[in-house]
Amino acid sequence: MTRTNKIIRNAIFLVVLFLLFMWRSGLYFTPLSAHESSERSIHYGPSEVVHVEDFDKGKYILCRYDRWISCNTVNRALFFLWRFGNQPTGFEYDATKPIDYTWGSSYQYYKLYGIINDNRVEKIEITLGNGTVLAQTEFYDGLFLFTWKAEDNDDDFFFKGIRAFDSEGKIIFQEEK
Amino acid sequence: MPSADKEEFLREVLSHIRFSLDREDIRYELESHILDKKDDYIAEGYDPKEAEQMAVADMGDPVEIGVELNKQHNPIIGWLWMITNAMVVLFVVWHIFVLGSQLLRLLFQENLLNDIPKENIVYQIDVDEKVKIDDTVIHFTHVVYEKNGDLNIFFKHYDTRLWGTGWSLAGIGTIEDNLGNEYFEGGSYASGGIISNCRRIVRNFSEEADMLIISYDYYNRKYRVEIPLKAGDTHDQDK
Repeated sequence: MTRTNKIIRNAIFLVVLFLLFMWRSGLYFTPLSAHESSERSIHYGPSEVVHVEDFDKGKYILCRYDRWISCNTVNRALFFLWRFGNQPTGFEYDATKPIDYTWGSSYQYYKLYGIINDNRVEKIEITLGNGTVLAQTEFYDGLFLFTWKAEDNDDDFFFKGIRAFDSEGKIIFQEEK
Repeated sequence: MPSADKEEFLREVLSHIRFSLDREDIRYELESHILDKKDDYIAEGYDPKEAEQMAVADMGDPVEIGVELNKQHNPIIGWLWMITNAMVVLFVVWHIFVLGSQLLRLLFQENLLNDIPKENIVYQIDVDEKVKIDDTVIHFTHVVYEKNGDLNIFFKHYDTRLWGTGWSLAGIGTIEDNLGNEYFEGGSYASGGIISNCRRIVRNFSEEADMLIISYDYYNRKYRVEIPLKAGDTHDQDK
């Protein structure tokens, strides 16, 4: 067998072994396949992907599934592959509130997401512990997502409050933590 | 002492081989040829020095040979071959280690039932109830009630996709009895692996209950398992 043939044989072995390695290591070629597998393995979904947003470690995937809203995370791995992040399951939203939401963090990466039930809501603002105000006027099929990164594990970056406004700037919903 | 002619010939040939890792093999092969021919000439009656010079001369032009051998021992092909060989070995070792350790764990799994001393058992029930959520099969195997009021639910779970990876099983659901009690206190253990052996301990389970109800209702997945218990006046140990 010539060296060229040996290289071809090795390349075939490597493809098979690499696929096995991916399979055993929970690695995926695309963020959405990691997301779908993540949901199924935790017995949730399949949800409808409404919005995908990049962050340093990977992607946030904002989804709707029946009575639940979720924001799954998938992380980049080995340069071009993807693996599970955290929080694949959602919260059951209360349709009687103008907006309903939840928030959480993983290390210094924070996210707050939710649903708009009152179609008068035109703008949502959140306030962080250090007084920073983040606002959103573009929503994703009735859902919203705020993401931010703390510079360190400082309480200043905790979520403090949320307000929803109508087109005239009148507060429709307000909640402080 | 090596002949200058032979060494010069080999040096000249090898100076054209760019893939350095092959030089030693080529040197060995050429030297073997020369020595074979030298032996032939000696057998024909030539003295060793003359025989070696003739053998080297028979080999031909060292430059031509070197250039030709260099084509056959292309450094890019050579390095690719070496690197892919090393990668195949690394992957195979990794798979043997990972899959092998999982298979060993599967073969030598401990029997969790043995963790409960026999003298503490009020009754033991063999169960054979299987439920499935997505790709996960949960197989309830035993229920053991202890004198201290602990009810132990033994089960195994596995993924129907061969050795599938994913989140581990979060829980088997809510634990209730036929008297309307719901139980929250307790603990659990899971061995992990391809087939995970698990034990769920429910504290202060009612002695009077004669039905254990395990119900799962999360995110549109549901199951309900009802296991009759040996309750009432006859709490004899099931041998």
